[in-house]
Amino acid sequence: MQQMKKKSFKITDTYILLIILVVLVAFFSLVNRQFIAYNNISTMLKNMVLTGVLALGLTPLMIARGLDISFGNSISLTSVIMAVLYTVFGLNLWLTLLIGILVAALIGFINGLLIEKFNLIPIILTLGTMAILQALALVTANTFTQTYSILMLTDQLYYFSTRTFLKIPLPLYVLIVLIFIFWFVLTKTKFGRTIYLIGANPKVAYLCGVKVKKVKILLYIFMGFITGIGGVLSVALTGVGASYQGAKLVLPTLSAVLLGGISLMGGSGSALGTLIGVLIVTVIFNGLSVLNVPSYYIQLFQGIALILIVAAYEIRNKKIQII
Amino acid sequence: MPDNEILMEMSGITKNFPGVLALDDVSVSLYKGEILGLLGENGAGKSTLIKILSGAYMLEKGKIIIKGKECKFLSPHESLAAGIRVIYQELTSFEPLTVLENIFAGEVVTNKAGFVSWKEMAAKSKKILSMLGSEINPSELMENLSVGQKQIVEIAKAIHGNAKIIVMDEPTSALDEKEVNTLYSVIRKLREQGVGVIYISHRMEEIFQITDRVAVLRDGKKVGDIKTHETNKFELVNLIVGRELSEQYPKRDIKKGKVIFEVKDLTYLNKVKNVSFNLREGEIVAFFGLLGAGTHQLFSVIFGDKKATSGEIYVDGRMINVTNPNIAKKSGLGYIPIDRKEEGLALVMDLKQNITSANIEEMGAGFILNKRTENEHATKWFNTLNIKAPSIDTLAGSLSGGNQQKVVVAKWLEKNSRILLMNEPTRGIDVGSKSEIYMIAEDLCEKGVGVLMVSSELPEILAISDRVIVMRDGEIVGEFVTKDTDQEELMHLASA
Repeated sequence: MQQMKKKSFKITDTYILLIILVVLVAFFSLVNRQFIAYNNISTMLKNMVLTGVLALGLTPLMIARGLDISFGNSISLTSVIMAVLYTVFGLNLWLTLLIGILVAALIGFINGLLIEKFNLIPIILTLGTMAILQALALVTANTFTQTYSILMLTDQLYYFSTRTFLKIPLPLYVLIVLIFIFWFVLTKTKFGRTIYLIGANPKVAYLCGVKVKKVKILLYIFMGFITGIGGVLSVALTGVGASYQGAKLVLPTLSAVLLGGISLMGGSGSALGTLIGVLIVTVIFNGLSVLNVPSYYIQLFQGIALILIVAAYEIRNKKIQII
Repeated sequence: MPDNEILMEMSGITKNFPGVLALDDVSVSLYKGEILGLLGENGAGKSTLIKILSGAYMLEKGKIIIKGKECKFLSPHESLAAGIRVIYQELTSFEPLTVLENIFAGEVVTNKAGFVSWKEMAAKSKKILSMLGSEINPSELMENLSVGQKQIVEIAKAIHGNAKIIVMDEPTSALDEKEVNTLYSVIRKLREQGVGVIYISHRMEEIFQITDRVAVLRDGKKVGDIKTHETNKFELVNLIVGRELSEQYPKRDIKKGKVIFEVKDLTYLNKVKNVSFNLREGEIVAFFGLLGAGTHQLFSVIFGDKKATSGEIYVDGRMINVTNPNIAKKSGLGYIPIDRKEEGLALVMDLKQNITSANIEEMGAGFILNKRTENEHATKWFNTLNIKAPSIDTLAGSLSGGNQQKVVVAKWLEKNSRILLMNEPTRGIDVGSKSEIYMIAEDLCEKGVGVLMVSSELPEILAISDRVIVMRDGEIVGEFVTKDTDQEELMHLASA
């Protein structure tokens, strides 16, 4: 009986999120017709790509009780490195992008290795790497160009970020492909099941023969890899490698992931939940800026939203326990 | 010595847990200046009784009268206010603080200006400690004390809090002989002060050395209440053990095969010392030991959860180097841990996911998880083990203890384990599920599986094992063919 209840709860969860999404879209379109204009939707979806990709990378990691908050600064550093390699050293574009992605993956590996080998608390360790990465980004940019923001314009990236296929912006396809991959891995593979088992109870997983630490380090590397892709997208969409590029991504991304049903206690969440979370967060912030709400108020709202999301889930979980 | 003034009287205490009657109409009283021994097997109801007295469990049925005053609803706060202190096996002291700070935890003495008066507290704590005949320095850090000294500090804390009744739960389990003697003299001092002591212990010798009277619990009922000098060890053991459980679970005559598992000189720190034994196909070998005997650690080491200091483990005559549970699993071992909620089951996952959790690699070809295969496998064990739940999609956390345990067993049956380690397999589960677990174990033996079991319940060991190995202080101190031994012999050896 309890199971029936739990299951129907899960379905209402997704429904509630979808309803919130529809209500928000309806609200913003009623207040300002501009909101549902093709141009705005297209911009909005393009803006969503970066948050979406990062949120997806966080999904399996957080399901397995890991966490990384340094990805924003990792994007800053990798975008700066790519811009320096391409503009200062004149490296081949594809090699540059590959190096950028590998650097981010290496950062993920270092995060994971330190957290798992020394049993550190992920949020504290990545808070530390966050500061280090930010500093490295500034130093790198300043050393090679005496600026903090380096122009990196290429035909290929410009084409990629401005063209559409079937009226859908090209960057969005990256997100769509990744959503499919993450959904598939989490729901259809043995590895996906292992991730949920670790999140549900790491000790049980270990006693079932799962190499918990190895799997988690792998997920950190994965998050790094996804962050690298985020770095490439960031350079493509903005045309610069900027040392402050990524930091502002952390809050909306974490909000989206938590809203989508991932708990800091691990074990719950899904790729589709994360997608809906990303959509809601994007609609709110785009909607507010279409309404010409000043950016500092948007930031205020971001903070409040994150607290509300976490509180709402906590209250709801308590209710379920009482039932 | 005991005064005839009654300090505390519990009468008609009854406590129900889902599926278990933990206490059934139990009445116990305690006199001023008396040391009452509380005896019983694990699960007999001792800790439930103590928890009711300390207010941790709610009193449902029965009466508690403390110093002539009836307490209808005893909360932890009221229990403390009435002068009841429980000193648990796992001490609850504040390690990084000093002895003095521990004694005065929660009620700091202040001077006229409202500042903390360290001088006065130091003087007071010295007085209490010396009254107990102890020379512990009040400014010593708690973490630097031995377990025995910590216990004395706990007692000092209780006395400072004006304790009238002190409950000690197996206080000597981690003490050496000298410390035990110190503790005894402290307890005797308490008696002189008119404090009532309830003393829980498994060790017969202690009961006769220190207590004035003993109350014996068995299966939630009080079966004996005797003055210590009017009884003897033999009578007490009989009271504790009571029925001949072995008749309830007829042991099948199963043919034993070749040796499939062997351990040689296994050592783990100073917890497990030079342990050697073997296991045959179709055999159940039980390990018996009191708290701290090393039986649990032995199993953790064998399954790779803890790393052996030295020693060798063989499966089918081939040495395996078990550095993690994955290697143990691949060598054919399965592990049913003592704490099924923390180590046995993923409570937030459903039954099928739990049943297949040690065998995910077999659920479909390549990296794909085939849910149909998973359903088939899980359903098979769900039905075979008669797991009582709405379906295989039910969350493991919503099941009763007995059914949860069957899910843990199913997990290793699914993995086709040939050597099954069962650590307290029937702990905290109802009688019905207990006998089902025994049946499963014997069914497995008929298929050539070997079972290693740790149990602190002797009737269980005598009922289903073929051989018993007794451990004490990390060492094997005796090995018996089960049908040639009895509870008295085993208990005696384990506690000597």
